[in-house]
Amino acid sequence: MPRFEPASGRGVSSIPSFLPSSDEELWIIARGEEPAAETGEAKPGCGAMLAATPQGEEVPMPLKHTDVRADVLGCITTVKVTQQFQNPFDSKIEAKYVFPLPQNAAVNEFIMTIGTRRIRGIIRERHEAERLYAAAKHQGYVASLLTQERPNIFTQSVANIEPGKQIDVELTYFSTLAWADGWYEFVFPTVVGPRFNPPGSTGGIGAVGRGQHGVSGQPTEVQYLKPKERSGHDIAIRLNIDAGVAIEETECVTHVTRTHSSSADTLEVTLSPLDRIPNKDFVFRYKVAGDRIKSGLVTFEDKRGGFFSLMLYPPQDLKQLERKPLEMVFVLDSSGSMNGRPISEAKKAIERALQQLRPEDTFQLINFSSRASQLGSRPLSATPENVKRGLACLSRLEGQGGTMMIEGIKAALDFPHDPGRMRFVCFLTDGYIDNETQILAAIQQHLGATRIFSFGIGSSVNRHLMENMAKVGRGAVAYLGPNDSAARVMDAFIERVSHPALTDLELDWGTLKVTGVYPRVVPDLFVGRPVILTGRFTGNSTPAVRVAGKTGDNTIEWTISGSRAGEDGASALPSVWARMKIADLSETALTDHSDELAEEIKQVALDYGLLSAYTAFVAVDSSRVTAGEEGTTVPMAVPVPEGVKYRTAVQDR
Amino acid sequence: GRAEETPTAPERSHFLAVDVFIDSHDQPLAAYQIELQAPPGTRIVGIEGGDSPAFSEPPHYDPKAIQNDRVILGGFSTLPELQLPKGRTRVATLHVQNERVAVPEFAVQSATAANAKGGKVKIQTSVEERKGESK
Repeated sequence: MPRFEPASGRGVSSIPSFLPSSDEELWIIARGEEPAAETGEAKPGCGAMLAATPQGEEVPMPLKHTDVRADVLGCITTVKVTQQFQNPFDSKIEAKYVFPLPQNAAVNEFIMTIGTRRIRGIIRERHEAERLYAAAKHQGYVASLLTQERPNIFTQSVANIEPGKQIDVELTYFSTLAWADGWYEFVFPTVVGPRFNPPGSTGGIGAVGRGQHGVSGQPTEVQYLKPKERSGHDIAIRLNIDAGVAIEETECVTHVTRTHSSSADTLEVTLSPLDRIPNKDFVFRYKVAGDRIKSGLVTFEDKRGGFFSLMLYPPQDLKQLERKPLEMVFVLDSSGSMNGRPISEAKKAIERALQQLRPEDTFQLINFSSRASQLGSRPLSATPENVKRGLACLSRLEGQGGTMMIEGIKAALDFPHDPGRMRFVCFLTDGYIDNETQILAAIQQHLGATRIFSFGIGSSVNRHLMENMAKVGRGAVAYLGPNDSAARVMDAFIERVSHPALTDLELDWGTLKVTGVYPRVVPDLFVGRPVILTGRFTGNSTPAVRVAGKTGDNTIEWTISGSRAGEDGASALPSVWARMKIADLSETALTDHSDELAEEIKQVALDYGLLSAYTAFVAVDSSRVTAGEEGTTVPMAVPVPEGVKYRTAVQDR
Repeated sequence: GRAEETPTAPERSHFLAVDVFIDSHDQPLAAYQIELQAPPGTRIVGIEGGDSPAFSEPPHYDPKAIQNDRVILGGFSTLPELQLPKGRTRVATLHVQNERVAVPEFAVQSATAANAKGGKVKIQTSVEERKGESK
């Protein structure tokens, strides 16, 4: 009897028209565990002439090395990413590399280096930049183009790299540092996780095997190395932290690092040479002295006017308020990409949460892959018997099939809310889907009084989706990496939701005249999670800002006085503000598809020199025409993220 | 008079490098700012640094101005005075796409410069199409 092996690893139900008629005989042939490596001549595009090494078969690829230099000043991070492309073939090539950056990155600089010559790229309207690049490529000039596919996924194209030659492309971005539960967190993603595209979608990002361009039918594809292949591409990361106060504790559970301190306030962190394969997020956390983090205002002024950043930390009083009964809905992604360790860790987290609930709480378990299913028709009281039943249901779940997250959202949000309880819907997923806009719009439409907590599971989570689910869902986000403790992450979550959030926040700006404050709707303040607002201002930049919010029937008020003008890192505020404005406009665009909105996003990006969905960076060396015919395009193949199984996540013919 | 400019079809557009020179005569050049306007049919596709180590980094540009292909180039150096360039120095190169037959002429709209002590320096500027290939 042949053993069933789905061709794509995504489950029969995701393959259109896969229904044989009753008079047909269906043979299903098992596929081998490990796909055979290709062999052939060494030429661009075929990815062949594999060299055997102890670590696997090395495939010639155009990206040799990525160098990351990050400087943290206060809560602003400036990161310079240099990608070193080198042509390993004997004819000209165009290199294409699809890669991730943090989803809130404001990319504002782009420099192409050829030998000792450095050429600054120009920000242009996207289609124009693409035309300029195409013309330069066709005419034989070395050129590079950087485009955004998603807020956290980008494509680097470098044309006319001559045999043996190296072209470096350097991009710089600003971002704000995340702070949660007492820890600052610097994150740098190194690989795009394989995205699932719902049947019939045509505007997505495909996940295909190396050399299988076009298989997914999507306009952008990430090609993945097979399990026993490697490309030789490695990454170096150096992080310089100037915290301004003593750094008390540090943690990096994702990588082996070396640290060096020249003072109590500063720290230099470098990635160990033993841990340089780019197949997982780099996450470095640190705690600073003082257990009472205070809200604060940072300002910056230039010829464009005044910009500010206001960080609101929840007051300590919230922890003393009475806990209300909870209605917990756990929504677990049980698709193919979660197979193995990711789903195992997610299940541990849910088990921990179930064990923390009280009998007056209720819970529901929903899982989704190609379809959604749930434990019962309505939430169950968290009695010991019901918790045991929930644990038993959880233990039977495996990772297989497609990722129809929309089904999970509808199942989680479309049943009546119990007004006597605070409802929290917890999504546990790696976020490897490509219909993010549809998902976020659905949350917006169905949210009601619910709060969404998104848990990113795995080594290379789609953080753009996770952060925005939490933002649109008026909740918070947490991450559970392969080396994180499920218990610790879930304990922090239960602690957070057990205390009421401060809602309906209102700010009295005093003598500060503010405009363009983003996000426009101030999120709820949860214990352990600050809210950052950015905006423009005129007037006195050292005001007293009064903040008021509600917890049920209670009102809590406090005052933030003074500001820190000209603080190190504050010069990035204009870019950070513009980036937040673009994010806010993009959220509006979930339901408003007008041309005017797209035009506004484009104009903000052009005015501030930022990369966006509607703008792109282009750089051309017009001083020299390279010899030979137009080069072959060689897509950069990357490893699947650590913990993700190639067979269940990547389309391979 | 000027030769008639004939727009070319986009597929016949061509690329060229345009060098920007500042002649500070016998004064060491520590800082400069030049505002240039590209002619119609010309799009700037890259800005390269200059010859001297003092100005080898590619200058920044004003993102609002560049939308109309107006480039405000500026650079300053903190090198010791003896290492600053004098005389005629290439401070930057503009890489451009030109959609017209005639060689584009860039208009210098303003130019200022200073020496290491912050004193104003009298300069002459010129913008020339590069002939021959870069090494």
